[in-house]
Amino acid sequence: MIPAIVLSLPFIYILATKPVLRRLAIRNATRRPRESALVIAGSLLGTALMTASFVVGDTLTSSVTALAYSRYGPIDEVITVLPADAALLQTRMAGLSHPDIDGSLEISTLDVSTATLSSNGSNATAASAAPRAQLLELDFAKASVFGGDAKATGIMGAGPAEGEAVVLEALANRLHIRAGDSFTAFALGNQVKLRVQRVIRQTGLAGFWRGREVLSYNAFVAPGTIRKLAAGVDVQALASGKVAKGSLPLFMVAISNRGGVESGAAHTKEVSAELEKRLKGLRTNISPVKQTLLDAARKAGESLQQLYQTIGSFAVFAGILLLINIFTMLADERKSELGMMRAMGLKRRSLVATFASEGWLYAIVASAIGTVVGLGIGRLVVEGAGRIASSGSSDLRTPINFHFTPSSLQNGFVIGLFIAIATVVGTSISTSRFNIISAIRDLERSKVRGGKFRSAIGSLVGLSGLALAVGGFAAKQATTIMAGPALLALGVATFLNRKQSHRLVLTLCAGFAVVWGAAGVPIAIGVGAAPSPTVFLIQGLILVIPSVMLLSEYQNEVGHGLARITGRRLAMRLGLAYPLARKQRTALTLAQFSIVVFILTYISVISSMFEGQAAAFTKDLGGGYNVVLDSNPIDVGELKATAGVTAVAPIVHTERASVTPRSTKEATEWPMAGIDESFLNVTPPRLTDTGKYPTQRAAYEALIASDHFAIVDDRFLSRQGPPAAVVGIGDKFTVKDPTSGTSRELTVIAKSANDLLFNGGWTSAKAMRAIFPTTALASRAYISTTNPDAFVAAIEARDFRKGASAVTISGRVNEQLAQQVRFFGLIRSFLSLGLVVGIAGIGVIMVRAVRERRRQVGVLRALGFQANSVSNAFAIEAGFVAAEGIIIGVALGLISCWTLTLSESFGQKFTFVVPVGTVVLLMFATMVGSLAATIGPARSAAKIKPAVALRITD
Amino acid sequence: MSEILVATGVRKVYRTGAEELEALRSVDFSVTEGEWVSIMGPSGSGKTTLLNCLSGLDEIDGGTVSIDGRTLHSMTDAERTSHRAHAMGFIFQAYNLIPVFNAVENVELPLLLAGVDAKTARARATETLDRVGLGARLKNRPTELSGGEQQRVTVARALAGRPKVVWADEPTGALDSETANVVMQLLGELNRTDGLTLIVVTHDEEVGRSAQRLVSMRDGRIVSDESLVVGAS
Ligand SMILES: Nc1ncnc2c1ncn2[C@@H]1O[C@H](COP(=O)(O)OP(=O)(O)OP(=O)(O)O)[C@@H](O)[C@H]1O
Ligand SMILES: [Mg+2]
Repeated sequence: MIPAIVLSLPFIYILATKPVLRRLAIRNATRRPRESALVIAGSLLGTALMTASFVVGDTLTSSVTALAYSRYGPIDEVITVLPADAALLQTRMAGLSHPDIDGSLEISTLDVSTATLSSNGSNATAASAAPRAQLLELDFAKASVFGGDAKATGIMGAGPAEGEAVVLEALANRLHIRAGDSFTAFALGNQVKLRVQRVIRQTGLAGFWRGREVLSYNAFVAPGTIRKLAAGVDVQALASGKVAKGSLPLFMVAISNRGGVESGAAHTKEVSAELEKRLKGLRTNISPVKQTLLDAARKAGESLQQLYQTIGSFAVFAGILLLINIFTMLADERKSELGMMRAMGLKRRSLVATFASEGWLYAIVASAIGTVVGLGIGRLVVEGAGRIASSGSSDLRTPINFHFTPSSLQNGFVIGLFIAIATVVGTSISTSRFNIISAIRDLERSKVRGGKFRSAIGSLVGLSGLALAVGGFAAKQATTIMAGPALLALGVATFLNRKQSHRLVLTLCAGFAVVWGAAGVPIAIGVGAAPSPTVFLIQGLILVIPSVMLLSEYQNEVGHGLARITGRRLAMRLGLAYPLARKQRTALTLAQFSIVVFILTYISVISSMFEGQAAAFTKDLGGGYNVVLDSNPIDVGELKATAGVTAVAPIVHTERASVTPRSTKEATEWPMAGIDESFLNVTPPRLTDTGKYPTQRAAYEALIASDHFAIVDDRFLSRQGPPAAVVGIGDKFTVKDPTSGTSRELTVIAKSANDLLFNGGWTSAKAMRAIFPTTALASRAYISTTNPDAFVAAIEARDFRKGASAVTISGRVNEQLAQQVRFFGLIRSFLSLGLVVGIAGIGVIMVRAVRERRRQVGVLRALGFQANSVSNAFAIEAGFVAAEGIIIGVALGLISCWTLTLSESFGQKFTFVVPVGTVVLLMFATMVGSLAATIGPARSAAKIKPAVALRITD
Repeated sequence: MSEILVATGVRKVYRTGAEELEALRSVDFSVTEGEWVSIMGPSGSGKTTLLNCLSGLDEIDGGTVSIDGRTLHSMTDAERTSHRAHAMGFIFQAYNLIPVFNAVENVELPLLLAGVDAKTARARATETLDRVGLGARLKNRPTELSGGEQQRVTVARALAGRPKVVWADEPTGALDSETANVVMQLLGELNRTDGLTLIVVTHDEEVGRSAQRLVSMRDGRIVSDESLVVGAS
């Protein structure tokens, strides 16, 4: 709130201490309530969109944070060892006491697959199966008071007896079982039948789960059950490289920090330090699970908020232009009144002050309303996002719950207020300057001064543009690569403007800027700079602003051409005359329109380009393979013998490696996948960049032969938000086994297409075995088969004991693309708000235009101009500007999407597809909307009575 | 000569909220073709109102107005508008040109409205502007013209369509006396040579007296109606 007060202080001061200015400002603001309402509506947009993006971010943060309650509860850190080291860990942990720790709890876990069997016997089939489930053993009595808050643990009552299981909802639902029913758990080649003692909800400790799923498929079993399943597994033999029959049991100690579910995480640093000291030398890993989750939640929220904010900026920009337009019109209308005030001795500064204070009144009201509107918009976006989430595989999607913090509302309010005030003050200053020049008539002198000033500014802007461009290319910084040359063009134009022919200079500079706007992004991507959403915002501005300037410069030619085509119909001539005569205003309206149409076209085209990319993505992602199978473990021989299978490439896969890039030193849990020579038996997945290797194959061969190379995609280590390459070719990162603590540094040698299959980083099977000496296990396979869909169904039914779960690569790609497309759809609806603003803006501008021209309309009517011709003229005027805006926006949108297809962007080579239907609909709807917004003002113009209008003096 | 305009018992009441103001109280008034009538009277006496009502720019609350034998207020708005386009010209106080049109475009406006083809309209507009002494300023926008020049454009606009009747409301109000003279002489000449009917509201005694007939108004009534010796001033 403090920034809002600071922003407002000057205006409050003016209004409080200058009675004359106060009266003027307040009278003007309240004189025409309907128009003041329009101004407020125009100014609230910024606040609304900013607030909405904050709210969207808050919602995601809180939705992810909710996982802290549903899967960790009191658990803040988890210490993991293999069962062989369990006794060692217990000794070290004995007598643990630290002011920041309020409890520790032993948990044993085992990854299992579960199923309900249709009949007994070894050739039974699964009625229903949950291939990824977990058995847990813990002391229910201790667990229920762990961390001191029984509710947060989610565990109470008696623990399971021998042969019983306390089952979580998700697992019960998946297996269609209730208390009293039985199911079977499979692991390591063994199986155990369990009777459901009761079904409990997924809360806290009960939901303890470390997979990427949001739901926990947990079954709590009596102590000893896991040992029974693991019987016969020789851990020592594993260490020597022998493949196990599945992943191993783990022994963990969960630590609860002092404080609640979220607040406890504050002590993570101290507690981790204490634990590290205690466990020194032990093969173990201390994982601050709660803190990691909370960090991820915050980051996810922030990045989504930024994405929405950046995209919303397009609409906000349109809103700013609208505001400038309205304020300029207000100032024009009051010109004589203001001139009179000046003549009576009002200083120019006071003039600005009055006008700005009036604007502040609007801004403060607008920001307050905008905050509420933004909350509503945020709500709608969240609603839409919820729909998307529920459409995908529910396992992986965080349930969305609407949430916002007071500080978000405050931030939205303040940013919106700042935008509105800055616009209003800027416009006030420029309009009052204009008045003074025409009033005092010292045009000559001010022009000379302006000229020098202009040259200085021009050189400054040009030089900084040049510096940015050079620096940008050197640092591979996409934003500066984009902005630099555009600023250079602006600087040159400003500098040369008074010296050379205005038109030529403008045409050349603006033309260059437009070309750069279209070509800059692919060039930036080409030199290896990663484009962020901001880059596209800059691109939009670079395309739209110079285009509008160019069009304005040639507006007369356009108008005359049009007049020639349509014949010299009077309404037409009149309709075109105003936009041609008021070039600046027209340019503002045009820019306001085209920026929004541009981004909407852009997103529509990109979206359909993604959609049309399914086949290509599938090919890139799968190469010659068409199915990915997870099975615990993979039995290559058996799979090869399966009908229809032509190739099997086993992959040593882990979902939870601890990965730390050398550059950021921040550890992230990320999957890693190790391949061997068999991966190259068919065409491997496509690499988007083979680095220094001449062919795809050479890069793969180098990877497989070495044990310190890696291949990653652009999303490596950054799951949330837009792809932002954390590591590039040549960069190094460390991979550590969370259980054994073994680690190794890998170097990125190539880049792969987007990892839609959750493989994580690629390395060699050799490297995986070195890093994960006891757990490395081929648990995933790339399979080439003649009938993928049939294979998936068959293998899941056959290998349910191994937890077989398979997807066709095309199926996964389609699912991911569908979500992507829906996300684009959501963004598009968010942006449509900008379009609504553009359209409403045209309405507002026409309302003002009618008011301004009432007397002229009166004259026309007196001269014999028919009432309907008057309304036609207004409609033509609005239609003309809208049509130009739409054409610029659509053309630029198409062009910049097309340039993206010239090179590899977003890790894929796209083909240019124009969603003709969508684009035509967009154009049509925008046009119809604009004309509809003009109906009101046009009608009221037609109703103007000449006798009344002619009496108007202003 | 025949009567071009006959108004009988014309009443006009302005209503603002509950208040009523009777601006014209049963006015009888007629004009013969080719006549030049001045209307004078104190401010607020109803001169502009009379002009608006008789020309059909405004509705009336009683009485009838017939022009060329047609009852004005029984026509639809569109008919009246078209009638204006064909048969009437208007000159108001300054500042009533269309600012986004240049001089010649402003002048050809009524011609185009009357359905004259573009080429002829342009030619006639140019000719008319020439006649008012603005032949050299055809392409200037109103803001680039002086007040007197603007008013001459207005006169040209009123005359270009060769209307039968020209209504002028204080045509010289914003002009210095010399420019005012030029404008009035122009109008007088057209009245004499082309038989133009002129109805001019003015505060200027001299302008008023250059007409053939002087009508005085007070409180919404015509209080005197005198014939003047032609060319008295
Ligand atoms: N729209 C209106 N609403 C209410 N009253 C009006 C309106 N228009 C004019 N009047 C009143 O009608 C009366 C006649 O006005 P009108 O404009 O005809 O006077 P006028 O003789 O032309 O005066 P002036 O010489 O000052 O132009 C005045 O008292 C005026 O206040
Ligand atoms: Mg008057």
